[in-house]
Amino acid sequence: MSSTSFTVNLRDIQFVLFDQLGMDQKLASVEAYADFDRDVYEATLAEGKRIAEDKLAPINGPGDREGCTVDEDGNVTTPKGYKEAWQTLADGGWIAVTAPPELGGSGMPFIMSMALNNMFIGAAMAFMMYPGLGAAAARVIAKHGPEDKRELWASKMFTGEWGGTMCLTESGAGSSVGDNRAKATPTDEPGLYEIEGEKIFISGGDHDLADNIVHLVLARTPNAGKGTKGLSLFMVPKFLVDAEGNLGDRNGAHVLGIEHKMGINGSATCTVGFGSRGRCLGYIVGEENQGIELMFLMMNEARIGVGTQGMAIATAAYQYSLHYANERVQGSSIREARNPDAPKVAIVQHPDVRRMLMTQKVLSETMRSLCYKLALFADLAEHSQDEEERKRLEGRVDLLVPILKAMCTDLGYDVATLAVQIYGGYGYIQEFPVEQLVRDSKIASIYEGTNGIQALDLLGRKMRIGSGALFIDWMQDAEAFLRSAAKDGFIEQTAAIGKAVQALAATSMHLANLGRTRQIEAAFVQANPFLEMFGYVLLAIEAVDQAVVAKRLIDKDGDSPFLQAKLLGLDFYVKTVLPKAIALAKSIQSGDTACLDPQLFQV
Amino acid sequence: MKILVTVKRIPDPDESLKFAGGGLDTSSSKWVPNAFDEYAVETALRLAEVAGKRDRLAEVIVMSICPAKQRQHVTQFLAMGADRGVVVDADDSELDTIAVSKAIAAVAKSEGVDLTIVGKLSQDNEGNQVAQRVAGLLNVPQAGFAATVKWDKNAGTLDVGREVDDGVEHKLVPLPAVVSVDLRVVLPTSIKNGVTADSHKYQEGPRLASLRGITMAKRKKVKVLKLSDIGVSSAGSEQVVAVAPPPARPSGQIVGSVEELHEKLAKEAKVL
Repeated sequence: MSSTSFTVNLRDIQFVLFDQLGMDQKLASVEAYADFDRDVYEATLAEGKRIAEDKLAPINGPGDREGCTVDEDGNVTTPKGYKEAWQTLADGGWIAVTAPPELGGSGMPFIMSMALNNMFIGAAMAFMMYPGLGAAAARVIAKHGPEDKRELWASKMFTGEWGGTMCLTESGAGSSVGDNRAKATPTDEPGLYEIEGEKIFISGGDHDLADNIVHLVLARTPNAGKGTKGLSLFMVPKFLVDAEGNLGDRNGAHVLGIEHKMGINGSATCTVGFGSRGRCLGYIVGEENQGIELMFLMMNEARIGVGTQGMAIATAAYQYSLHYANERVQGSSIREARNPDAPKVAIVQHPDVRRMLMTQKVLSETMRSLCYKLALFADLAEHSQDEEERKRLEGRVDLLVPILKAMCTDLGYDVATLAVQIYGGYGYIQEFPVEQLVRDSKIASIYEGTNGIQALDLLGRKMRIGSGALFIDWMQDAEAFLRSAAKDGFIEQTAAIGKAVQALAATSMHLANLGRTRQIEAAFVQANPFLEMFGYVLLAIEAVDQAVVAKRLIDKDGDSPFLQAKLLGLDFYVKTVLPKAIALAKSIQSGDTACLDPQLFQV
Repeated sequence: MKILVTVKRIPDPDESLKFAGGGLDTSSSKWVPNAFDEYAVETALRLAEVAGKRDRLAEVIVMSICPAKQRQHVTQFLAMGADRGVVVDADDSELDTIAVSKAIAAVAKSEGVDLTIVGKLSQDNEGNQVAQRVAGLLNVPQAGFAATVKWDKNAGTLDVGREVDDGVEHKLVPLPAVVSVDLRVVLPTSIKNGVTADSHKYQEGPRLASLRGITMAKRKKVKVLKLSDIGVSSAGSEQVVAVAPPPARPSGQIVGSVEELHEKLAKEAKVL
């Protein structure tokens, strides 16, 4: 196998889904998923692997080098092979895995769509922006679009006949979405508005993959209030359509230009003008002033999705590195340093390369575990009949989502960087696939709420809900879990992680005290380090969870290198990664505020 | 028309082999469908379907002999588009080529199939005997190593282009018949069923299952039989004496001159 071919580690995906999470069992009692069993899920994964490896991975490198082009009329051409890949996903029903069957979806749980995204995004992140955003926009329309249009429009989007975008950002209104200036003026027809404004950084703002594109646009109606509360949401088609969905006149939504970016070059990042080249019409989604609320409904799912992008890049980077390190012969074993005739060995034999591989492996696998677990919680929360249980699960997802998003995207980038290091000089060259992973993955820490915004959300909102109730509930569960894992024989490891949990609690108390004494800036300087610390503790718990399951399987079915690696992974994590959490606790509690001194950063 | 396609699960050929107790150790193997059987199913589906329409010209039944609980490969083929399945519940230890051939012939007979399609061989032991034996047991014509198949419905015949040493040989076989398929049968225009336009180009290779196909697969019927149900005894006519890895290749030598090479070839290797 060539070191440059993309591979999916199906074994690890199955381990998390079935052995660790028991998702097939847990979802068996959910009526919506009663038709599915492990066989169906496994067949889905096996086919997903083939699509990722055979259909998506081959277009990733060429698509990066070719990029997108836009003509004078604002029509975007995507790289070669993108159309065929889109058709493969559309024909097979892979665009909308979770959408209801009556709207052209497959009605599968969210966790399965995350497992498939893990494979598909790892194979071709830039390409997957198109179906990902199309399906996301369609989910909003299916729930909140105008009643006479929602089913028709959503089903056309779920099946890939049409695409979709999310148009939120404007110049001057990115993280501060409340500064949005786009205008929506009612027409004589109820629910129909004229849209004017300009949006930037719109992924897939135009493309040649589908017949029509539906933009979801945030805009302000006349007399609406300032800030986020005055925003409404509109669906704006590229081509106006009749009641049967037949395409009519070109609507006044045009791409004015595309960005030249660091990565995801196959994904057209567009400036879209509404009403700048002819009248632009849009239908209101939900009610006036409900725009942000509707966006927020999507937020947890979208942020788990973006965290999964970071995780997917990490798992891909590890697989590439693993194969390369086993193939690439360079130098001889350090044990034979004095022997000039020592045979040359594959670089996987070198301790420093092994250290990097282990870091990649442990981080990417614990992230996979965290992403799937939270997706399963979201599924269970959606379908739970028990109100208390549903609330608890929702609270858990709310608390952990910002950590998942920021941690997985930051570490995804780090793990990709390690892949370049393992490849050495060749890693820096475009002929090999890993430098692209570094460039592609960087965006994930920026969009869907920068990681700075995630840290604000965690410290400023999630930690304060119910005076810290979500955190306390999480901590009790974590400690109970660690006690049970200790009984399974992981005594030292759980003791170390228990100390980190205590340190996390102490750190949060420290920050809460800064808040109480109105030292707000001093507290928020530490928001990001606090999120990072929390993230390292969360991943430690995933490492234990995996080790406990591995040990149980070893006792039941016998040893295997795969399972043994989970035990070794836990030891590695506890000894070399977890100390970062302790160090962060010290740094956060040091109370340092030097960077806030007004003398600094003047130009 | 009824088409029976035989499918086998094999240890993943991309994994390295493990040996234990004088034989292969497959206890921790990952099992995958035999690639030639994927081509066989694709052949049957192309014969049965009218491209772009829901009409079907034939029922496609996939049959596998495997432990009844380990039939994920059957689910996969149902997801690809086969109509139903027949599983003969048996462990590999109960099987040899004769038992397998008899079981297939028995199912073909009881189902009353018009065409049996098999992969030319399974990638694990590369026997290449089943098509020939089944045709013999059923006393019907056979066409092995198909690269193209053209079905004439009115005449009730297949024109089978067979891979032979010096090219492609065409055989006209009346149905019922047994066909074994080779690699090139999954090229875009290899199969013609007389209803789908001859110019229609399929995607190369066995098709991917759609997600809808996968979710529907569990609702398709799979009949489970025992060897005894179809009157086949598992008594082995074949016996594995030993399985061992090939000897490791000795390391090469670098020679200083043509003369030295010549001498080594003549005296050490004794090949000159």
